[in-house]
Amino acid sequence: MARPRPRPVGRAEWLIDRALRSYAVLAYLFLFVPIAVVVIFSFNAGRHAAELLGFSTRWYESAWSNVFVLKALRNSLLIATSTMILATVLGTTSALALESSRGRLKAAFEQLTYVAIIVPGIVIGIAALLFLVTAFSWLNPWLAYFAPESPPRLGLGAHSVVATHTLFTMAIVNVLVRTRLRGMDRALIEASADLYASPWRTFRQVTFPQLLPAIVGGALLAFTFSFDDFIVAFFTAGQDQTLPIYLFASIRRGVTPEANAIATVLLAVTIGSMVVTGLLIRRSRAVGPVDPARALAAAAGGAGGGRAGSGSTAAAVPGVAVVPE
Amino acid sequence: MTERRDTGLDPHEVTRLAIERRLSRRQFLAATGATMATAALAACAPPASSTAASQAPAASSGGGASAPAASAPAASAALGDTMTLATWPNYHNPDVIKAFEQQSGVKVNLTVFGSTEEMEAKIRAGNSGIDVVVPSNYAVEGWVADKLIQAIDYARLPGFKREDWNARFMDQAFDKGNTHTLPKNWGTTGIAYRSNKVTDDIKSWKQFFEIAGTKYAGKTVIVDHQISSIGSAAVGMGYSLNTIDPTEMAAIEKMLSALKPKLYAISSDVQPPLRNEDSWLTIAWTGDGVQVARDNADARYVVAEDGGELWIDSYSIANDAPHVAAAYAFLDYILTPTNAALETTFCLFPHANDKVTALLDPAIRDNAIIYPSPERLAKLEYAVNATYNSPLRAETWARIKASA
Amino acid sequence: MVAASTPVAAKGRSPAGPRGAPVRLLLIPAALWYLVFLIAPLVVLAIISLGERATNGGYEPALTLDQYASLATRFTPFTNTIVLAFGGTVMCLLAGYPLAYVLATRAGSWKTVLMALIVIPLWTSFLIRTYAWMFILGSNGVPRLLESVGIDVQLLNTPFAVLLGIVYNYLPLMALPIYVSLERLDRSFLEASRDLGAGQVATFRQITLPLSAPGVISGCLLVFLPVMGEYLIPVLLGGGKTYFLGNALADLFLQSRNWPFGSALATAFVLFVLVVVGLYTWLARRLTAPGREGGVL
Repeated sequence: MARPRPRPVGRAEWLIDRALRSYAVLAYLFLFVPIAVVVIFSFNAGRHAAELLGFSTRWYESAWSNVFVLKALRNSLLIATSTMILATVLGTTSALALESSRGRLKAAFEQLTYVAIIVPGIVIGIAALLFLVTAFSWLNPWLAYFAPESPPRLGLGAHSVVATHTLFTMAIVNVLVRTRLRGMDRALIEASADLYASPWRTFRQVTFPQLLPAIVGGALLAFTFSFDDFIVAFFTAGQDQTLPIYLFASIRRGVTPEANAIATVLLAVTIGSMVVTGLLIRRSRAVGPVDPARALAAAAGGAGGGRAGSGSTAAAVPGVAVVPE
Repeated sequence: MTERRDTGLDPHEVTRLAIERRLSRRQFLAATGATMATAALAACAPPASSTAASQAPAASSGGGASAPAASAPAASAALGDTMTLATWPNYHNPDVIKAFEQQSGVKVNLTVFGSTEEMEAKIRAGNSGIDVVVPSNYAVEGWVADKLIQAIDYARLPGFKREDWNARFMDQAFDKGNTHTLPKNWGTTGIAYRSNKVTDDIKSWKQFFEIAGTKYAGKTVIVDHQISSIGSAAVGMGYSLNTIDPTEMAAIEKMLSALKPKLYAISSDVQPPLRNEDSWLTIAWTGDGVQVARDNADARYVVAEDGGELWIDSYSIANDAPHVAAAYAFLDYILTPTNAALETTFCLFPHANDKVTALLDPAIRDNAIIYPSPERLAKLEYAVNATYNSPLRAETWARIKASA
Repeated sequence: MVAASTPVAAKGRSPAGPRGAPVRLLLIPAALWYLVFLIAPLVVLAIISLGERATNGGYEPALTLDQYASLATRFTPFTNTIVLAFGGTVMCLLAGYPLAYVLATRAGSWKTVLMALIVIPLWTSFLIRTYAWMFILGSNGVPRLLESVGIDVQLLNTPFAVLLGIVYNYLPLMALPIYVSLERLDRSFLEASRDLGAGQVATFRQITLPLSAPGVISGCLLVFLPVMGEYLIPVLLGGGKTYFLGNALADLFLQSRNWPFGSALATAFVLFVLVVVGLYTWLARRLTAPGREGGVL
């Protein structure tokens, strides 16, 4: 899809061109160098950035032997995995159901998805907290009434984090799968029907394989967002800690190389899952005419930006307005 | 100042007292990554997965029949086999707790909180399983009014001798007659600084706020706590620590808003910048002062001579405590002078019982950070419930933080 | 609601996958989830915002609009932070536009990869990205290097650090929509402009820039709205001296325990976001009527 590039005509234009390109390079460096710095200094034997004492994994060892770090890591992994499963199931089923729906139901559900992505994370966290705490205070006396021996007591914890994380990640999965659904080649489906395959069989053997990249991409996106999230977990985690929450508290105590080590571990998990997504998408490039990477980048980078900030809003906006359907 | 002794502890003392995590309450939060998010929210029942919360088995409420430890006296059958203590980080000597457990047969479940709000949230929820709780002074009035804690029956504290206790800390406005609380630790809000960098002799809040914006601009920290920061500013300007008078508040707001751009930070985590000398001068609490001074020979902590905040964390019994008998047994035990002295020696927070003070190691007793001089103490005030809950204070603080 | 139970052979806008009522039932779990964890909480938030602060903190049931009324008077502190948020957005725009432009016009076949590279930081933890600058700007980072050449400057806990944090964290969000909008630009316009004798700069100013306006506005909204609700950047990079809406909300719930006002503030914020975005979407749809290319605003 190469478009003919306008050749720089005069010296001024050539200068502008050079300047722009150099700027782009600088911008990329700007984006990645700070993260690289965090990673590099997690391996620094010295305590301060000014003391580059050589390679060492001592901070990782100290983090690993910290029982609170391990607990937080375990919680984060648990929460992220649960969120991934729930979000994928709920997001995919709702996307499929939506495509078969019409009219007001469809519109209403679309609005819900939209709201889920757009409401800032801090508000979701606070609102969920208020609601859950109120709900628990109503429910707990009933539980005590029905099971006076050792009443189960509802409270905030990892499960409430999973619930709220699932909320916006399933919306993202929904958007991804629906984008893919809409972009799919109908010809294949119709051909399958013309060959007397039942709707279910068509779905299973034609639609679903084409959807897989979007589903998998969505699942991994859900995992990374949940794993990386701070602001929502901050409000809903109760006494449980996730790794970002631990990292935050640790940072407030002072910038230490151990924090760098923990941050690097967080990054490794994220980048790892992204690499896996990329590979899976690349493998299925042959499947449909829709460029999955593109759909993913546009919709995911769009919708994905929704949880980028600590008080963020959706990037559903470009998905909706700038790329109108 | 001649009356001020060496503010650092002698290394032998440090070694003897060194326990693994000697952290202030905020540092404990940081170390464990505990979130402040549950703070201030009512109806926060203990989550099933929480490690800190304890679930008092319903069977043992009201003195269950569970078999006590073999060596425990028969009386323990009436006490039950567990008791839950909701307290602050590193406030208790583990040896003392263990000794109590052995003597009484009651296992002590320690639940730790980082803030009064969090504690309050648990208690307000009801059914928290908490027996003994340690609130800060400014919350007590509200707790009594909302019936979160019960009146103390002094008949059940045979070891308690009121005359031994320092009048400065007893019978205070927040709990007249100590009907509901008994002091555990008290502390001050003072000024911590690195004398290597701060060459002035720091004496008063007035001075603090003057040099913060001028001589030490960019090197001063104030805590993100309206009671302590607005309070100290008020004292520096000649007002009461607890003022909520609109005119005075306006003046304080003006001063602090003008100062804000020149501060290094507004943060309650005062130790990190002070330790690495990003900040040289800061508002701090006793615990911070003790620790930084312990680790840095040039670090100082002073109680201002124009006044400041005095705070007390007190023992009290939750209104719906499932093990009241055990609670009293624990209080009686922990408040005997010998045991209290062991506690103070461990956590280095001053105690309100004079008999206890007499039993302490001179290094601790004469440490002016832990036990400021009586003259300085006399000018300190307690923060009151009205200040804690004052909307004007909260809004003023928000405006100060939001100012340009 | 039309029950689409016609056979698969129907061409056109036939939905993919199995159809019919059973499929629509699949909506129920998701709908329930939204109901319980999105709608109900927002409703609770709204209800609490109509209440009053109990004397000792928390919520006292009431039905009053006092909290909303007081929003106006208690909002003046935020004028400063709005300025900072706006400034951050503008800087982000200045930083992001050239980047998007280069990608859209000069990247050739590398486009997708390069675009994905910009998106990647978005997938990493916001906390880490903010922490990275704490590390770099802190006393053991760049300032220490500067000290060795004699420059003594404090970089952390300044408005500069906050702005930098905003630009760093939100640059991808700004660049992405601008890129999309530039990429869809019809080159024939540019060629026509050239043919008519306009130089590169003039072409940019008169054709490219206006036509990329939807992307620019989209990007600015994507940055400005979340930045207002920021919590981490003011705390970690601003040293508590900057105060965004997110900080106010956290304080209201965790420090002053003023639930009703906090809820009112949160609700107002959400409404504001929904209205602005809704308005923009509606406007964009109106102006992107079929037949018009790219949308001219």
